[in-house]
Amino acid sequence: MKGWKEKGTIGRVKRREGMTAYLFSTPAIILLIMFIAVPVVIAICYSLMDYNTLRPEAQSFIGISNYINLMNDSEFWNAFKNTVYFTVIVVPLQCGLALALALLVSKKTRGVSIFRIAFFAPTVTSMVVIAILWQIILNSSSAQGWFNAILTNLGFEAIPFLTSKATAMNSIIMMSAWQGAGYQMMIFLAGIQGISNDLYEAADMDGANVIQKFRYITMPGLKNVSKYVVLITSIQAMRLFTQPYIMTQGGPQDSTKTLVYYIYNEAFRSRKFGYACAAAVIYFVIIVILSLALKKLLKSD
Amino acid sequence: MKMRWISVLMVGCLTTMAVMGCGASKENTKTGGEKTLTFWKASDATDDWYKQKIEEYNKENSGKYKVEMEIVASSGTFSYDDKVSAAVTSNSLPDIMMVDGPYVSTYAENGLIIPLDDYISQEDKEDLIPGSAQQNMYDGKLYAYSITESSVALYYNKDMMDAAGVEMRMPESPEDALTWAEYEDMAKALTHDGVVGTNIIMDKGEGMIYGLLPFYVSAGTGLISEDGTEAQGYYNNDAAYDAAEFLNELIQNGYANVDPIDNEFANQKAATMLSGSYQLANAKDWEFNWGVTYYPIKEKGAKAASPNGDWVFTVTSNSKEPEAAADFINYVCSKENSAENAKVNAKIPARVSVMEAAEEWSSYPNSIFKEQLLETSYARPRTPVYATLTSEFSDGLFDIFSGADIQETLDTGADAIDKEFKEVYGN
Repeated sequence: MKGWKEKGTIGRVKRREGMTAYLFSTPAIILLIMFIAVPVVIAICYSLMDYNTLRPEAQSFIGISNYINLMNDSEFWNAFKNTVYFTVIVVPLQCGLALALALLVSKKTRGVSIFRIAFFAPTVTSMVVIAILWQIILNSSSAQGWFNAILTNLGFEAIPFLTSKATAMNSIIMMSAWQGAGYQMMIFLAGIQGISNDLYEAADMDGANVIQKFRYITMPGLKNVSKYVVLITSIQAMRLFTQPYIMTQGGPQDSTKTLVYYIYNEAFRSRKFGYACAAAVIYFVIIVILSLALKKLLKSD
Repeated sequence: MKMRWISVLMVGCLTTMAVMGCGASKENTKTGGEKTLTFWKASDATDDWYKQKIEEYNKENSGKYKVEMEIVASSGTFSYDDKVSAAVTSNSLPDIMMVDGPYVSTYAENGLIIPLDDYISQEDKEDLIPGSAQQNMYDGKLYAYSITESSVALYYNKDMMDAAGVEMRMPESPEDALTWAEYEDMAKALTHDGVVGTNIIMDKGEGMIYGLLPFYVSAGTGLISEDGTEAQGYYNNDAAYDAAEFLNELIQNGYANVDPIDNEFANQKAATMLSGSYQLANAKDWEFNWGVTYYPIKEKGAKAASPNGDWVFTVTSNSKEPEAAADFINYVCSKENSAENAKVNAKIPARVSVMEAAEEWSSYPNSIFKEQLLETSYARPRTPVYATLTSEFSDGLFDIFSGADIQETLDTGADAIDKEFKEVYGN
C-alpha cells in the first residue's frame, strides 16, 4: 500500500515535470509548425493545383499532373543536372580549400589574425555584392575584365568566363568556393585547436615529419568536424541561386540554371505557381534523401 | 495526458495569434481617419523628385490621405515584374503601382489593375501622345496614365570618329537613317584596342527587347501576330533571323561587348551607343564632342522603327480607395508636374500640350528623339504573355551570342510563348 502511494507521488512529480517541459517548448514548437510544417503542407497542396499567380481565384485541382509534366520537362532535368554538377565539384574544392587555409592560419605567428580576417571576410559579405564584383572581375572583354586583362597581357587569349556555355558554371564554382571557404575554415580551425598539443610533441620526439603529423594526428582529429563540414557544404551547394541570378540569369543556354533558380523562374516569371510548388516538393525530397545518404555514408567510414 | 498536451499547445497558439492580431489592428487605427495609399515605383533618376512631390501632396491632403512610396530597386533584370507576381500571391499589391508600359496588357487581362476611364478627364485622355494612349488602352478601356515617353537613338563620339578618320553620312530624317551595313562598317572602323565600335546592350532584362526590337521591325517582324496571340511565324521567321544574325555579327566580330561595363560610352570605351533620350541628362559630364542620329534601318527603303514606351501609373484592383489613388495620379501627371518630371531625366513629356510647350524638344539633339517618337515609334508586343516573350527574347539573344544556333533558339522561343498562351489564355 505504502509503496503504491510513493509510486503515485513520484509519478505525479514526473508528470508535472513533463508538463513544464512541454510548456517551455511550446513557443519553439509553434514557430516550427508555423514556419516549417505549414509552408511544406501548403506547398504540397498547391503542387496539386493549376495555379497561375496572376489569377489566384481561378485555381483548380489537377491531381498529380504537375508531377507528371515535371518528369517530362527537360528544363527541370537540366536544372537538376546543373545542381548536381555544381555540388559534386564545389564540395571537395571548397572543403579542401577551407582545410588548407585553416592549416595555414592555425600557426600562432605574428599577423596571422589579419589572414584569418581576410579569408573570412568574403563569407560575411553580401553574396549580391560579391556576385556583382566578380561580374566585373570575370568580364569577357580584356579591356574591362580584370582576369582577362592579366591573361592577355601574359599573351593568352581572353576567356569568356560567364558568357560561354563551357565556362560559365565553372566560373561560378570557382568564385563560390572562394566565397564560402572562409566559413568552413573557421570550423576546421576550431577543430584543429581542439587537438591536444601533447600528441604533436610526442610525435616530434618520435621524429615524425610534417606530412606524417598531418596524416596521423590532424586528419583523425578532424574526422568528426570534416563530416559536419561536408554535410553542410553539400546542402548549401544544393541551394545555389544568387550567383546565377545576378551573374548569368541562368544562361548561357541554361548552363547555370539550378533547381532553385528553376523553381523561382517557374513561380514568378512563368507564373506557374502550382507547377513551381511541385518542383519545390521534389527538391525538398531530394535534399532530405541526400542528407540522409550522406549521413549514413560518412558514419560508415 | 495527450489531451493536456494539446490544450497547452492550443493556449500557446491562441496567445500567439492574439499578439499578432493586436499588431495588425494597431496599424489601421494609428493614423486616426487618415487613409494610407501605398505607391510602388522602380528606382531611377526621379526618385528624389517623387519624394518631394509626395511630401507636397500629403501636406495638401493632410488628415484625409497619406501616400507612402516604396522605391523598388530594379536591378536591370525582371525583378519588378517578379515582385508584382509575388505580391499577387500574397495579396499585397499596393494601391498605386507604376508599371512598364508593355505589362499593362498582361495586368489588365488578369484583372490586377482597374480601368481609369471614370477618373481621368476626357481632356487629359486626349492630351496623350498617340503611342502612349495606345499602350495604356486594353480592350477599349484606359488602364494607365503616362507621365513621360522614351525613345532610343544612336549616340556617337565625334572625337573618336575624327581620330579614326570615319566620315559618317548625316541622315536627315528617320527614314534616311544609317543602314545596318553603314552602321557595322562604322563600328568596325572605330573598334581598336580597348575600345569597341558600339554598345547595344542596356541590361540583361527588359532593356534587350526595348532597345533592340527596331532591328526586328525594320527587317519585317513585330515578333508576334497583330492580335498578340501567336508567335510562330513571327518570332522565328526570316526577318527575325536576319536581325538576330546581324546583332550576333556585331558581338562575334568584337564590335560590341556582350557584357559591357556601366557607362561604356561615357567612359570612352565604346565609340557609339544605342541609348535613350535620358542620356541627354548625363551628356553635360561627357568630356568629348558627341552627336546623335536616328535609329539604324535594315537597308535603303526599309521600314524605319524606334523604341517607345515608358513606366506608367496604374491603380490596382487591391485598392480600397481607387478614387483617391486616381486623384494622386492626376496630381503627379498634371501639366506642370509632368513638365518638371520630364526635365529631371531628359525624357519626352507624354502629354502633347506639354511636349509642344517644352522648347528644348524642338531643336537638335532632343528633336531627334521627338521626331522618332512621333513618326517611327513601334510599341513592344501587346500580349498577355508578355513576361514570357520578353524573357525568351533576352535569354535567347544571349544564348545566340554565346554560340547557340540562331534558328533553333528562335524556334524554341516561339514554342515557349505559344505554349504559355495556349495553357493560360487558350479558352
